[in-house]
Amino acid sequence: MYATSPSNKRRILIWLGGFALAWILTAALLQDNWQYKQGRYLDQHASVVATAYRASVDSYALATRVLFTETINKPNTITIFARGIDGDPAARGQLYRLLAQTYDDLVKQGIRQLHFHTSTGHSYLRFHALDKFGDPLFDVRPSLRIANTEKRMVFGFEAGRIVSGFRYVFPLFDQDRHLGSVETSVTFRSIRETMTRIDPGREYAFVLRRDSVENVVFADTRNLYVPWPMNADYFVEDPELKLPDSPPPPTPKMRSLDAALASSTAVHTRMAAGDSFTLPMEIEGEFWAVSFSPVADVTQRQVAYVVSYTAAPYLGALRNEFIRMLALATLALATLLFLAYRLWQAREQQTREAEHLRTITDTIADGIYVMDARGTIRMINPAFEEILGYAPADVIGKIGHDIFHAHAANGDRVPHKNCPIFSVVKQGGAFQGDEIFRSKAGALINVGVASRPILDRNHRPTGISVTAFRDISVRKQTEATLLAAKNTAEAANRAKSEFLSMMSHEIRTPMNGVIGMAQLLLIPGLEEGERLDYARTILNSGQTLLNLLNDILDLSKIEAGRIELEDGVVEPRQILRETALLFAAAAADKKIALTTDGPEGNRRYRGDSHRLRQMLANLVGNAVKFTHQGEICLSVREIESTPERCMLEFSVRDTGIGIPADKLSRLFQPFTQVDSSITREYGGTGLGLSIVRSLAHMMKGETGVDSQVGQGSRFWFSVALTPLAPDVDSRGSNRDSRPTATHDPLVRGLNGRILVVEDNRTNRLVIGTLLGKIGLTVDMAENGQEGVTRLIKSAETEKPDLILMDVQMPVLDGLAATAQIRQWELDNAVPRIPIIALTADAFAEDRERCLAAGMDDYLAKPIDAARLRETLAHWLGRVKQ
Amino acid sequence: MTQLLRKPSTALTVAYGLLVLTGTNATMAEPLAFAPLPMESPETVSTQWKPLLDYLGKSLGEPVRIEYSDDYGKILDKFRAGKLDLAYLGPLPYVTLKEKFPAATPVVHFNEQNGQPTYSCAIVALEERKLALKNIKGLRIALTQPLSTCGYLSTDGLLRRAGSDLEKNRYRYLDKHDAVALAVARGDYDAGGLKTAIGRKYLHLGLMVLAESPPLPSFALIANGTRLSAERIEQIRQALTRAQPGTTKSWGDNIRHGAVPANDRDYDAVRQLRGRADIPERDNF
Repeated sequence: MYATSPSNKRRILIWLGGFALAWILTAALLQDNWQYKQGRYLDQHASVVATAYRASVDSYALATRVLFTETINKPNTITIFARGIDGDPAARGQLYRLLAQTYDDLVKQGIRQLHFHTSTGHSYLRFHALDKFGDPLFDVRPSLRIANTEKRMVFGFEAGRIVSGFRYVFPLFDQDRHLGSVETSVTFRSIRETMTRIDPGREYAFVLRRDSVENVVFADTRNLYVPWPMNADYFVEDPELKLPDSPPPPTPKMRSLDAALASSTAVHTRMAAGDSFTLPMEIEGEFWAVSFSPVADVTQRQVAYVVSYTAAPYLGALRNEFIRMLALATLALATLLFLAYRLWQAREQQTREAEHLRTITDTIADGIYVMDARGTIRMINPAFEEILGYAPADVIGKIGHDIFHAHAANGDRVPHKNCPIFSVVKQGGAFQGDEIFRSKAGALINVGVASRPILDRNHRPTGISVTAFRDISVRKQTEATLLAAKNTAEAANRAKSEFLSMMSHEIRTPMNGVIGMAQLLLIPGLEEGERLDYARTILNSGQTLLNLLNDILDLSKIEAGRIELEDGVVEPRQILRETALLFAAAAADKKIALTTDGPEGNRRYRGDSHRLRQMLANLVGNAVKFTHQGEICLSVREIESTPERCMLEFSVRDTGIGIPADKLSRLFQPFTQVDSSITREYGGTGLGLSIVRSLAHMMKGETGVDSQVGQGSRFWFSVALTPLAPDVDSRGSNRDSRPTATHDPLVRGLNGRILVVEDNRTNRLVIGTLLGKIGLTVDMAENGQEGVTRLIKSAETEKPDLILMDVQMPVLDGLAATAQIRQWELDNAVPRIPIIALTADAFAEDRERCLAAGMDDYLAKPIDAARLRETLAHWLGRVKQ
Repeated sequence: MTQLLRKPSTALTVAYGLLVLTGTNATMAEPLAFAPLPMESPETVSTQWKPLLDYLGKSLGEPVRIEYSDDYGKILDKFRAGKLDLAYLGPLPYVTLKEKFPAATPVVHFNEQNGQPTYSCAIVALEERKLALKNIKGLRIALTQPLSTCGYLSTDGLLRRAGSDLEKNRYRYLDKHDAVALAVARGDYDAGGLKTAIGRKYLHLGLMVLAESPPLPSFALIANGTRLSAERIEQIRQALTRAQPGTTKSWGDNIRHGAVPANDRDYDAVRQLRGRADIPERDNF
């Protein structure tokens, strides 16, 4: 149930009020219908009574007319009456005797009175009251006055001196002489009996208006009249049956009805008005119709009423019908109210659900639109507007496809009938997929679309569909990124597999030279020349391995973004020249001309000359390797120049074997050579061009190659450098000021005591041998802790002049040992002993770490004897100084 | 007792009044039984007599009930059997009753409409018939009722004065006086015996009075001396003779004109008219 909020209560009250009003109207209509039918029915009763009354009165009029014609209006009667009028005292008795038998017959017919009057309106002979005569009647008997003054027949009801009656008055004439009149009178009993014969089943009463009794009746007969119980303004004539002609007394039922209707206002008012009417009554479960038919006297003055009592079960049927109809109507109205209330509830529920849905659709992040069977947009939600930028007026009532979906993924227009969404949901299917919508601004937006048709209760499509969509651009981008990353990872994986394979080959080859030559050296009795060749081969092979290792380190650093370019002075011309000099011997060996095409002048730039030299050497090395005749030309030129930035292009052109066009794209990729057979033939790791490209990119440049098979190739790279003013001193650069290594590093000896801290026995042997060859005194320690202890505990004369410190060692590593030594020196005011790192950790950060730990210099393994001597000479010299 | 009465105190006066009011049968709670004329409907009797009886009951201090009877014979039987206290009777029934039940005591005569406590009976005939009563025989004579004073009794008595009697003629009881008059007026009968006053109402129809009796006592209230004390009878007599017109106007038509004390001697004229002790109850033709 819903909470009965004030508005709900008000609505319920309105409903109930409406129901009450409808019920009242219905009840009023039904009651009106009931009353109408009842009125019609009662009117029929009144009409029947009136008709029966008229028919009864008329029947007596006819009988009286026959009597008058056949019996009274005869010569002998007229003669006697005329004598009586003339004063003959015997005439009255004669008239009586003449008509006595006739009167007896009339009585048998129900005509109770036969009365002769004089022309002056005096009673002459009353057959029904023979002792009374001579009294004037004109004042109380208008019928006589009219009959005798207007000399015409008069029929009608009239009260009388004794009893009332229905009078039939005939004027009597003797020839032209008006003698008087004769009348017959019928009591209501006779009228009643006739009415009963006409319409059996009714009870009748006859009541006289009070004034028509009090003003007319003889005083001594007034006690015949008693007030009518129903209406005291009327009198009942002779209820005690003192007169033989009085009608039978009222039945108990009539008395009950009289008593019941005594309080009826309608009885009093309508009888006072002289209306003809019928009233319904219910007594002890029986229905009665009491009809009131007014009776007018001969002057048309209403003086009496014929009252009819008749059982009227039809009234009960009508009432029961009304009750049934009212009950049915009430039931129907209640049912209607209930249904309407349920409908209203359902509509409220629907409205609430619609509001909820509207709230949901308004707050949901997905765009939603409702489409009809023609594809017309019926509704959109705010997210639709937000995602696509259309206002409701832009799309409502229009074909949505034409506005925001009129294209395929490739941007081509698609007809509405082919719309993948519309064509599916129109058939009752569900659409799910990714589409591209066009925003109002024209942007194409990747959207994920779910569209469902609205089905009717028979699961048939109504044509209406609801479509939800969301912007999946980010997801698409993420997917693309992920795909690219996946591809990259897979490529890297493949490359590393290839790399491992390659490394295995590259390492095995020189390693084979080292191991093979070393085995040959172990053969006793070698010639000096053989021994030197073998040793040189070992040295070359070792050098090859070292180069390979350096290349790998370089590439690794580049890929890891850990390489740092030096910011020094670059002299392109110098770089060309030095590089050409570097390969001059090799070129000469292959009879290849090696030339440079340098820039005019000696312009200088700020940059990393070492890396440029490395890059150029790579290209030249390749050119020398793949060129068998002809020439190799090194060149450099400015291809862009501004005061702040210059783009320099270094290139190496050869007349070598060239590269097929379809293989060019594989160049500059790590571990990739044009053909694996090339590797076998020419050797090389394939890392050189990759390093060149990476470094060129770091220097905001590009790399490239032009080549024709059999014609030669031209490799180039460009770098962006900052031009320097011509007066900048080139000595400010970090040119290596150390003496260039000579090919006989062990020739000149050094003096001093060296503590070697090295955990590897072979290394200790190599270093110890080398240092001994140089002429130095060597002490050994196998780890950092031992090194520190030996230093501290050594006698003053045995204190080392310099310490060569490995880094990674058990017990105490080189860094910690160095820190302890420096701390000991500080604590004991001992002069600082140079400590030089000798480590296989060959990265720049390793060098920095060592220096930070308190070391003074850094040498990478494998040991370059020349560089070792140079470094030792440098630091021992400083010690000496 | 006399001494006490001469010095009445309120209590004694009340006690005496009660004694007087209740009479010898003061201890009886049974109401007095009154017999009206027979052959009248109970409704009419009730209407005619109830006001008087109410008045009488109030005067006597005990109620009076109506004991209906179909004919005079039954009234006389009930009287003799002591089942009636009072009866409204004409002269002949009283004389007849008195002969067999001496305790029957006339209380009051009710005045006729003319204010007199007497009336007369007559023999009427159509004037145009010019009938003489002397020695008549074989004529058709209309009578009222056997026990009606103006019926067989007076008619036979008047005929006997003229040398005839009813048995020499043909007579028929027509019950009512008006019926006798009209039957004669219509010519159905040669003569008729009836109350003179009623016969005179129809003189205009050609009737004439051939013979008329001396004044006879009017209808009277007769008391049963075996059930009512003389004091009680006197009490009733006083109550009725002193009733004022304002009271009597609501009484019945024949009893509203006042009353006078009655005495058995008032009936001597009746006894003189009477020729035979037994009056025939049936017509003789």
